[in-house]
Amino acid sequence: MSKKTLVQSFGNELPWLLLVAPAFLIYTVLTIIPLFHTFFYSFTNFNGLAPNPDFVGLDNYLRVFSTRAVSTSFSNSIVYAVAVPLIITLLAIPLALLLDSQMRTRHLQRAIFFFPSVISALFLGYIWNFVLSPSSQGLINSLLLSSGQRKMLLLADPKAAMALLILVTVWTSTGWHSCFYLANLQVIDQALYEAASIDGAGAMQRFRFITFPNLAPAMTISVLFLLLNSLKVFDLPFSLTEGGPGYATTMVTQSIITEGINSNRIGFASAMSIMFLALIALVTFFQVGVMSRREEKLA
Amino acid sequence: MKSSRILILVAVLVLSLTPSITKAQDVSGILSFLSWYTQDWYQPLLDAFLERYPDVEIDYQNVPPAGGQYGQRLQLLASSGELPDLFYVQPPTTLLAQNGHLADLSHLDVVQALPEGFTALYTHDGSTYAYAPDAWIGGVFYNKALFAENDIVVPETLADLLAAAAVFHEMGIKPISFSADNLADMVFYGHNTEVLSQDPGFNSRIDTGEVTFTEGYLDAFNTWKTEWVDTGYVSQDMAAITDPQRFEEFAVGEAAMTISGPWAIGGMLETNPELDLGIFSYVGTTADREYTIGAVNVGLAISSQAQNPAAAEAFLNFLGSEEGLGIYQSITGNFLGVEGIDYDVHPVMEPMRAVGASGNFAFPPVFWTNLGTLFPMFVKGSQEILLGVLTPEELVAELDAKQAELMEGGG
Repeated sequence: MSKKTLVQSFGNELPWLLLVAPAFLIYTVLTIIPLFHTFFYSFTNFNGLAPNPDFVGLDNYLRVFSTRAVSTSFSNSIVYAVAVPLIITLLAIPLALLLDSQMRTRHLQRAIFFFPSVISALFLGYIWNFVLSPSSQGLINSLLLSSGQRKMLLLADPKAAMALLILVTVWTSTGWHSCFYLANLQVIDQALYEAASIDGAGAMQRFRFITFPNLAPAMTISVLFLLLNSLKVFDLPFSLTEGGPGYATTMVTQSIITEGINSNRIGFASAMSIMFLALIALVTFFQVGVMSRREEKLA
Repeated sequence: MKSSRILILVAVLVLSLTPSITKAQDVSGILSFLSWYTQDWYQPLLDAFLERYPDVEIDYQNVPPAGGQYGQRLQLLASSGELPDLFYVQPPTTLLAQNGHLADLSHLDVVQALPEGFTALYTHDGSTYAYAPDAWIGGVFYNKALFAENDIVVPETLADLLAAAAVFHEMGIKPISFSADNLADMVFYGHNTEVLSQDPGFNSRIDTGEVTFTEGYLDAFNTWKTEWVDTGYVSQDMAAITDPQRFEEFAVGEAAMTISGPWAIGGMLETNPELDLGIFSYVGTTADREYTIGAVNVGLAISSQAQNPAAAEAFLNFLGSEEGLGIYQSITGNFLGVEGIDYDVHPVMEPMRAVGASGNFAFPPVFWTNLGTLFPMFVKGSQEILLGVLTPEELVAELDAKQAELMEGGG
């Protein structure tokens, strides 16, 4: 390409580049530069206060999984990030079908199901903590006690705590994710359904061979958001369980903040962040790759 | 002659007043202030200060201490060089002081007026970096009516306390209500009465590696587990109960005792104004081992890079005055370390006044430089012992290993 063509090409793209520039600048300042800083600190013993940290090589990385709280938080995050997308996807699709029906109350239903995703997750966590508290003052336990039943451990049982955290997340986010599917349902060509009906296809067959394959684009996006948000979740577990009991619901993000900020171990927390970033990138890359190929196959 | 005397007298009066007037005039501008007390609570002190220094405008920011939020904000502000002029710090302040974020307050008269016990935690290499004129003292709150109905007297030894717990447990009443965050308090109490009462400097030596958690805490953990957890007096639900919930349980009579400090009294009496509330110091294996939980309160520090150091110092001087201390004490409800000032504590806290004067109180974690890492491990570990997924031996070994790792300088 000649110099003249290059200049001409740049001139053509300049207006677009100028439009992108503010966003690029903000993204660079708020994400790219901190990311490089984090990468640098991960090789040091920076405590957030001393101006000249020492270089410690790979020490921080080697130490990540030898800390029990940290390794537990990694496995908790993985359990949560597998369960939440799976359950929400299984519920969001039928919900979208229901909301797409011609019922008179469909607009009201959409508002009701969408509502939990509007409220701050922190606030929801505190509300659900009151509902699910093992105390006799908790909503469920006070109802049980008033009906002569024994109270339950609920959030004080490590396994139940994780299950309840997942349940609350599902309650919070299913309505929002059904919107992806709802939007997708509304662009499916109705002629396909008419043709299938003429051929004698039943409701299940229409769903299996028309609706479900055509929801593939929505599913790719929804599952991507679910995976990312589940891996990065902080606010809901923090307000609902504070990561407890013990470390039963402590997520990686909470560990990073505890280790990095509360404990003045920025270097160690930076190494955790970089490893976590690598995990997220790997999972996302794999998920998008697999689901995009699925979309192409079904198209 | 008479008129010249009057003139001299007026001149003397004017000269004696001049420094303070000049000071008040010199002090102006915006004073940025980061506090973990809510502004509603703190307003009486701010109003009194502003009355004395009307040219100052206070930019008051409140971050609650719950969940480590205050510490996180302070750390972020320090690392980004954005510390406000005046802010609360909690011990240990070693890292903030060592890295030059705090102004030296040793020269202030109000700091010099404090007894050593109130400045020691904020002093490094001979310089004092925070002003904390008060100390909180905690104890075991008990429901006097429940105790009287069951002919139980205030325990004097651990055996008495366990006997009382057995009676309440049998009746279906929680002997002591704990939250997930304060489960470890019972272990600290055990450590205080059995170790600190004999060796008050024990926790300072954890930082130097001279002593270990195994040596100082294993017995306390084992006693807690066998006498409280295994007997069911401390139940599994406590591993997920919040502080407001346990105070409510206690206030409505579902628990006979709970462990806390003066800040909890208002809320409990608001929940149940009829609550007949009493307090006693925690008890040891023998009656002479009275050693309760308590510590010098959070202190006010001035940033070494303060934009308005004059106003910040003026605030500390005002706080340390008789008027300021009176207002401050009425806000915190704590015991004052400055002699010669009369003050009231909540009537419920009166029995603890003697303990405060004796100095037999401590909150051991404030002596650990690595408190930020070790204290959460301590709290979470206590929950795991209650859940049966960790043993006391495993927990103290983890704490010792972590302390050793941090002493080696692990980032």
